[in-house]
Amino acid sequence: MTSSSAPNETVAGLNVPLMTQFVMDGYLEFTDLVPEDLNAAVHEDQLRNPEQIRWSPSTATNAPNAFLDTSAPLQDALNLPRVQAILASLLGPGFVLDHSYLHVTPAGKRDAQKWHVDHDRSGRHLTRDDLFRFNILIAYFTHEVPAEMGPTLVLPGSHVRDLGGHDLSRYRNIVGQKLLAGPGGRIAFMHDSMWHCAQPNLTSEPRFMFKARYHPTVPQHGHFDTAGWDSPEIRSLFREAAQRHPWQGTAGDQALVVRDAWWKYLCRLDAPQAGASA
Amino acid sequence: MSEALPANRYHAPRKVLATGETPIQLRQQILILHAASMDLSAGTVAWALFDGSSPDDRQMQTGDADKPPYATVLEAMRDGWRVIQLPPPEDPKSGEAPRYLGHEYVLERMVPPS
Repeated sequence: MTSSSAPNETVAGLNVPLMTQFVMDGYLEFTDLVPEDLNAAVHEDQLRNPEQIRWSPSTATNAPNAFLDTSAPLQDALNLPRVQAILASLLGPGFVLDHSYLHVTPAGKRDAQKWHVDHDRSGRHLTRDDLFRFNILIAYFTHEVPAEMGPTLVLPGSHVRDLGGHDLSRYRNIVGQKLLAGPGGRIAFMHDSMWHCAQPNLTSEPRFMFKARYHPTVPQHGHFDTAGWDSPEIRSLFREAAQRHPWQGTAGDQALVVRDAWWKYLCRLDAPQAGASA
Repeated sequence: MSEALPANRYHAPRKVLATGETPIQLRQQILILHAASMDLSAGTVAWALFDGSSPDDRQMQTGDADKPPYATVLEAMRDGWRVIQLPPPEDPKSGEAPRYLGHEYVLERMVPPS
C-alpha cells in the first residue's frame, strides 16, 4: 500500500474536539479502531520474527516496509475505513506512505533512546507554510504495553517547536512527558515534529511497535468536520492553552500564538480536492 | 514478567569536601535545570544530570523520573550546587515558534569518584 484513495464519505473522520486535541497535544490515540481478531493476526505475524530486532524477511535488515509488505493482516488494519478517514482528516486526500518499520524493543533492553524528532528541521528555519505542513507518524501497538515494557515516551505540545531533532539529545526528563502505555490494539497518530523516544523494556517479552510515516500531497486545511470550529468553547480552550503544558514555561504564550494561527489555517474550507498538487 | 524500575540514584546527596581537605580525585557532576522563567526561584520544568564521578555509561536516561530532583534552581544551590551558566534573556519575534527549552541553568558539583 503506497497511496490512499479518497475517504469513504460514510465513515467519520475527525471532528473539532478531536482536531483541537491534536493541535494542542500533537497526537491522538485510539483504542477501538482495529477489530480484536484482526489485531491478534497482526500480533501473530510479529511474533514470527525470530531475531527480535527490526523485522527482516530474510537476510535483509532494516528494509523499509519489510513487515508491512509481508503481513496481509497489517495491510488490512491500515486499510480499515476509519483508519483511512483519520489519516485523510489530518493529511488531506491523496496522502502517501513514506516508509514504515516494525520496531522491536528486545526483552531486557535497559537503554533508553534519546529525545528526537523524526522530521529533522536542522539547517533550515521554518517558514510559515513549512510550519503548517506536517507529516503523520502512526504508532500501532498490537499488544498491551505497560510502563515497564518500554512504551514510546512523548512530550505533548512539543510539535509546535522549530528545531533540529538531534540537538534534543542532551535532554533527559521533562515535566509532562507521557508514556504511551496502554492496552493492545491501539494506534496513535502523531505530528512528526513531536519529541519522542523509545524506552527500556524491563520485561521478559519483546515489545512491538509498528511505525509508519505518511505525508500529504495537498495543503492541509478543511479536511475534517469543522462544525463549531469558532464556538465560544473552542475559543476559550485556545485562550487557556498557554497553561496546558507547564513545561513550556514563558514560551507557552509564544506557542499559543502559533497554535491560534495554525488552527485558523486548518479550518479553512477551501481545501483542494484529491489529486491536486501542493 | 517484569522487574522493578531502577531507583534514581542521582539525587542522593554526596559528601562535599571540607575546607582544607586535599582536592584530589574530584570529579565533576553537571546538573542542567530548565526553569519556567528567568527567575531562579521559578519551577523546574526539565532536568538532566551527567555524572563524571560515576564509571557507569548508563547515566540518567530519558523518562526515568517524573519529578525533578530540585523544585527550583535556588533549591539546588542551597544543596551545594554551583551555578556556572546563567541563561541570556530571550527575545522571540512575534509569531515565531519557540525552539529549544529555554531558561537553561547549568550547575556543577565536585565530588569524589563513586
